Amino acid sequence: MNSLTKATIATAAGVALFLGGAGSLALWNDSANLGATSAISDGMLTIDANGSWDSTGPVSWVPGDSITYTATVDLVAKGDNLRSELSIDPTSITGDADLLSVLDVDMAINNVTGGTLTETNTGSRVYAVAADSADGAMTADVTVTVTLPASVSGTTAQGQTAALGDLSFLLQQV
Amino acid sequence: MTKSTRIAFALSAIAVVAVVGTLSSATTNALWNGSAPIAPITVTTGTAALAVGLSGADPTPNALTLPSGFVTGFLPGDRHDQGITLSNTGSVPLEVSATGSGVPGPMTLQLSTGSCTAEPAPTAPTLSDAPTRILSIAPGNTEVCLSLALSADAPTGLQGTQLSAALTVNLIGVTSPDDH
Repeated sequence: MNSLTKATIATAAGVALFLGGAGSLALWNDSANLGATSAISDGMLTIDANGSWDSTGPVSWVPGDSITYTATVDLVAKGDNLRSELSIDPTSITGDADLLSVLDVDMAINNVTGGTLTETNTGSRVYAVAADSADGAMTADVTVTVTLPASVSGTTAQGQTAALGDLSFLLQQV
Repeated sequence: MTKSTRIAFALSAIAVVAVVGTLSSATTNALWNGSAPIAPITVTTGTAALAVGLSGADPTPNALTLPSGFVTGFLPGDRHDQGITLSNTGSVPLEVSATGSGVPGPMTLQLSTGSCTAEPAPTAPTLSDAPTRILSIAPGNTEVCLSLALSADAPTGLQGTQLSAALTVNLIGVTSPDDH
């Protein structure tokens, strides 16, 4: 292809682009509203807890020791299609590996008002949230028990430490 | 498709995948969640270790051999006592139980608390193959007394015989959540 041919093609393409742009403005058009104005309200997912441990716990734990945290938990799970779960965030527990591998953190729920909290699978300690009312407000008594199980034997996890410094209830949309 | 076109296409594909990946991960993070803190605590475990020794000697974590005089030369009605030092070298109390195996029929093996200064109390546990609770010991040393007695009405035919090939006492220390 010689230079003249290339120049001709480039010029034609440029003209076509200009024509295309000019043509769009001139073509007929119309519009219609998508019905009446529809207000959109979003839902809400919040949790608050107020509780305390039943004691400071043993100075030196042995198998069979435990400590219990009892809290009143207020949560709001509002949303037509909102599915959420309540659990404990265990990732914040740090310490010596042997102790972490045997330390048990359990959660039990009682006296639920405003909806239901149903364990997703037996022993999972994850509870599906279902509010009864449109405002999604619920209350429950939640007990967290930290146990060094009596089944720990021999010298496993002796002289070790685990810090539960940032343990928290977690309300998570799923 | 020229080489440069193929390269450009490949780069576009990577870009698309990267964008999709970013969108996917952003979607997961965008789901609502809330948390409520639980007051922090720290769990520190204790230590548990049990050593034994003859009274007056340093306890060791290993097995000890009872003196030959403790297990020989019995006459009907005789009782031989041996003081034992239990040493809890850990940081928490231990519940101590004991078993006694190889105890011949006409003999009785008892383990009582305290030093060997008097007859074993009537309530002093008699050892057998099944573990028997003896006492709870705090960290440190505690004295107990092992007593072996031959019945006063032992048959005459037992004279000059060896009644047992091996008399073994096993002491077991176990932590208890009720002890501290």
